[in-house]
Amino acid sequence: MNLVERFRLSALVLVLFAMVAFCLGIRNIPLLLLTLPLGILSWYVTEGPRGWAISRTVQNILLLVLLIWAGVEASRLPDSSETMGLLGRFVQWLLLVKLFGRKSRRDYAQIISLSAVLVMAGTLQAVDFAFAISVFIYTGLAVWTVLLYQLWASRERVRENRSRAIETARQAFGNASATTLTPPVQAVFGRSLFWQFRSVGAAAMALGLVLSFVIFLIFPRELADLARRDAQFGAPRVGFNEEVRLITNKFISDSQREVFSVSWSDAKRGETMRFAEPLYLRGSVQVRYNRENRRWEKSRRNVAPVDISTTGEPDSFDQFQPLTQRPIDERFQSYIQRVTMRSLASDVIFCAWAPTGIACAEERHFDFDPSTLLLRQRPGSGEGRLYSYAIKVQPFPSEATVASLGRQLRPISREAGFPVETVVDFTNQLVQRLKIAVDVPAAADGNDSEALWQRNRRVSRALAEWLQGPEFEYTTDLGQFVQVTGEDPIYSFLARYRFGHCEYFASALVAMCQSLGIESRIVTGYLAIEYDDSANEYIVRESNAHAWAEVRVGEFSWMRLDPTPAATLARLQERRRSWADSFRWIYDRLEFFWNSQIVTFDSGSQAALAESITGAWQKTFRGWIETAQTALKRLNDFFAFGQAGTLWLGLVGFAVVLAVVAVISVRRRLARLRKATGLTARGAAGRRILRDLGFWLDALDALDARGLGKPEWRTPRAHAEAIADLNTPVAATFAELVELYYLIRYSNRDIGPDGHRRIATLVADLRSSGRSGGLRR
Amino acid sequence: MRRRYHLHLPGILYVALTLFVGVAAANRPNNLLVWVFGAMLAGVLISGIVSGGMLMGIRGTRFDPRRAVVGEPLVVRYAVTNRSRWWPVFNLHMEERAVRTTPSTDDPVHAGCAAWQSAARPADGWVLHVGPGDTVHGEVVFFPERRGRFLFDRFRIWTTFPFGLVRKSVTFDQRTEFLVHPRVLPLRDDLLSSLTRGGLGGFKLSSRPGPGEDYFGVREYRPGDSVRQIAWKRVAMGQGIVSIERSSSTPPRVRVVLNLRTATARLRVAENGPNARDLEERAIAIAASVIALAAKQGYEVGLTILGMALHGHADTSFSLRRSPIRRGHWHVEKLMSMLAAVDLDADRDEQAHLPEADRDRAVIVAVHPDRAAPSIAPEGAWHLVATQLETLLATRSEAEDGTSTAKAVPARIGGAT
Repeated sequence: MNLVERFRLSALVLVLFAMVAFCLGIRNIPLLLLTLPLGILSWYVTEGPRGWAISRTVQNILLLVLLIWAGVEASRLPDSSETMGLLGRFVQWLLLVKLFGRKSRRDYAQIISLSAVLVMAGTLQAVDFAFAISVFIYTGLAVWTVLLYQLWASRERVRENRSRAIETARQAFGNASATTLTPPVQAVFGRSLFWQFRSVGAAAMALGLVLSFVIFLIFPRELADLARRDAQFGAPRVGFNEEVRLITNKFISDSQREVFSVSWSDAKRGETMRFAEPLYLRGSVQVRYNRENRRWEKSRRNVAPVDISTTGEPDSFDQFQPLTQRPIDERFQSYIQRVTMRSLASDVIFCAWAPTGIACAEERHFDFDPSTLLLRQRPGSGEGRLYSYAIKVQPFPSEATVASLGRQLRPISREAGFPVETVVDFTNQLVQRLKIAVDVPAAADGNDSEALWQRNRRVSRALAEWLQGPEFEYTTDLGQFVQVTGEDPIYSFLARYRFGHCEYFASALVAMCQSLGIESRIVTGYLAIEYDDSANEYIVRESNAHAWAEVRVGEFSWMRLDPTPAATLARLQERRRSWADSFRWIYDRLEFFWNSQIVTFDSGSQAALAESITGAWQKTFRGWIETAQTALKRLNDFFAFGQAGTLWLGLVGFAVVLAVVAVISVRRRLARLRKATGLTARGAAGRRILRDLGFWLDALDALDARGLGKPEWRTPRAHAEAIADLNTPVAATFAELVELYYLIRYSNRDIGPDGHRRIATLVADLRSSGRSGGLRR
Repeated sequence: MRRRYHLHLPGILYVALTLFVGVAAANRPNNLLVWVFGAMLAGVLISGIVSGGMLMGIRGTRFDPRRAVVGEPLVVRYAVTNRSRWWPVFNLHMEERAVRTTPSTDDPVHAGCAAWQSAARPADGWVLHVGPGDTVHGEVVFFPERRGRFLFDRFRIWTTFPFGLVRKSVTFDQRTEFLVHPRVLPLRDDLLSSLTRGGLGGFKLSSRPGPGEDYFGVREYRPGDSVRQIAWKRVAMGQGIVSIERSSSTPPRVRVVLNLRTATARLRVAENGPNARDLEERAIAIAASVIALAAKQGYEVGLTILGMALHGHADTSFSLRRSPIRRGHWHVEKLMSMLAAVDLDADRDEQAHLPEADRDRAVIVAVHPDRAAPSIAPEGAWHLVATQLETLLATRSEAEDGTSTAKAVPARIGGAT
């Protein structure tokens, strides 16, 4: 297969790779398994021995069907963020239709463009490392395919034009032999075609890669940073979601990839240990349910975060920065939780309830939210993302400790606060059916608050137990969980389906609690449950991402309740590692780099990078300057030039540089002149001839600029005759120069000042006619 | 030689899409999208750098086309040289550019030439690759639609490599004149034999030796002579080895007289028939076809154009108005060139008549545009009229493979319409 013919196969591979990339991006493997074999089949069908292809009419009909399907799907989209996914699926099917059709130059251009649109649609939806790799590979493949397309399309274009001209001649002049007399269009090429084409392709890719990363580094990111704060798009998908969305379920991960490891040790004795119960590592808290977009949202109460800074001192890993300046009740047991990141790059600090201090071996700034006791690295507070940190926690803190951490007392709410009436009604019916007393009894000691907290504990536990009962089933496969129009997914979960994953269980519990006026909230994070005895640490994997509930049981106290069936936790404890997971660390390291350095690269990182580069450059440059100044000073002292010595040395240096440049230029010109004239004489006579023949190069350059360049194999006189038919005045001027050239070159005669003046005039004429542009006779 | 960058629709669309992606990347916290934008922008930069660098060292030369025939492919070849040391060049297109000004008094050599674009539709050639220091030859095929003298002025080499975003070109000035011969139509095979019936041309002994059968004389033996040529009787008589020479026979002779004495405007034209200029072109085509048929059938042929001189032609190697009766490929080419160079816009001489020198021993075939004028030729000459063209043409069975008897009448003759 010659170079040009490779295009079609390359285009097919490009399209298939775009499909793979898109399906990876939206994590739709069934779509991939359906479309990829069809795409491969299209090659056999259209390019095979039978060469069958669907007609334009059928293509148009299929396009119409696809448009109708896309329109219907678009009207049923629950969220506008799904639009690009729908567009991608539409393009993917459209590409399949195009692949099965007959393909002209225009069709191939459309196919390449559509494949780019497909990848773009994926890019707008995903940033994870696997997808990024596929985008990189696609880009390289696209460069190669477009290069081939240029060649292939040009050949086809010339062929079509020539065929059309032949047909026109046949019809107009009845020239039946026009086909046989006309030479076919064939690829005309020089030496080393394949090697040079590959080199150009590789150079284009390498240059493109460098330029694209330079642009990536200097691209303004202020607007994107604002959007980053409002939305969690762009955060790496590692199972953990900062928000709970009940619209789509495709992000539930069962991956065994290690996200980070946790070492748990006693704060006083320092010995590493396994805690008595699984570690619930909190990452995010949602309080309000938005029934419009069916997602849980953070509290609208703006609590000013507390700025916590670590110094980055070498031994600072043991120097915990307290999260509050108020006293902490140290009588309660404290533990040290050390987190070492493996693949996650995030601003979120995962820690167990309740953190009291943080330590980090780097200089960092953290925001501590007193209302939720969550920690987060301040955006732009350092280059890259956290690699490891340590948290001091009290799993069972005293009320005073939480009060110190929380600072602000939150008012006690007694009213039902859930916005979905169907859920509220369902809850009321449920508590009646289960005979759960939801009223707050009047306390004997007059402390209504305590009665309230007891009611909260009792009711929420009862509801959690009901959710953990046999009526409910835990599953990550929500293919059967069809969203019913107008019906809230929480109500669907409670009343219709009764299966789902942890987010549904936690949502249901919190929704029911809030329906009954019990303050509660959803917490997402990780459940550290797998303990590696050899390393004495917990291994946290993607599949350990979890959601649970917290119910307020005191002015500052929240009780953790996990409504997910306990059997699920047991299943999570099972080690389900294949042999391939042994090599997973390589991929994880790369992904960690991708997430920590690329995905989260923001204006803060940009500024830090610019500062480091500027600093390094200034440092190097200053070093050079100082070295040069020292050398100059020594030289000045050696020659004792005095005050003006530096100036003189500078001038001398400049003159030396000029002289070197001049010598190099003259030598190159002489070498070129020797080659052009074939003069080998080296003595004084040779030098004189060379000096006199200097005009010859100017004349040849002037001819060359006019497109009348002299081939090396042609003698000067023959060239003058050859160009006479092309440009008479230029040829006449050149012919006179040729005579003078022969006179100097071979007769060894001095042409004198008049001859040199004449030569100068002729060369000027030759140049000026070149400047006038265009041939004139 | 001029280099230019051209706006190109795919490039404009690409830049627009790049800007769109850039806006999206600036507003979304998606660094992969930022990288994609960087890659797209890099594509524009690379396209400009690579293609601009590639064309820096390109030199092109057109090989002058010798002649062309109406309706038949004219292959124009170009030598493309890449003078760069390192950069290869890919995907070059060659195309002729329109003639800027028709040469007149400032260019006497090409005065009277028409622009090539009036003769043929634009076409382009393609070269896949030119390596550093390489020279390759590309070709462009034109199909001339008119007879006459035409001019190539300048040609352009362009490329959209590597990504098709920017179109770069370099234009070379190189004026070249070429002739388009008239269309040769397939005439009836028996046309000339019926015209020459009566022995006006006939066979006769020639004064020159040749491949005939009659005895011409003897000469000394030359190495290479066949033993059959040796006159063995003379050898037996002791006169040395001599060879017998045979005489050359003279084939029938035809002189084609093209009558262009009447100005185009004064020709008689039928209401529904071809116009006057078309009639003249038909007459030229008939003359060319008769000459071609005569040459094909072994006749000696000559041409006389009555009523006009060939305007401004510098070549004096043959008579511009008449040619002697000769035979052979080059002679026929000269006659065709005479017909090609006929300028129907030139002044006519209505009093012109066939010179005495042309009334030699040959069949005179006079071709007239509108009606026969017997006075221009001696008695016994044959007169053909342009309107007779259909009756002169061979049937398709003769012209091709004998499966049909339909007339092979072309839609166009190839003259100015």
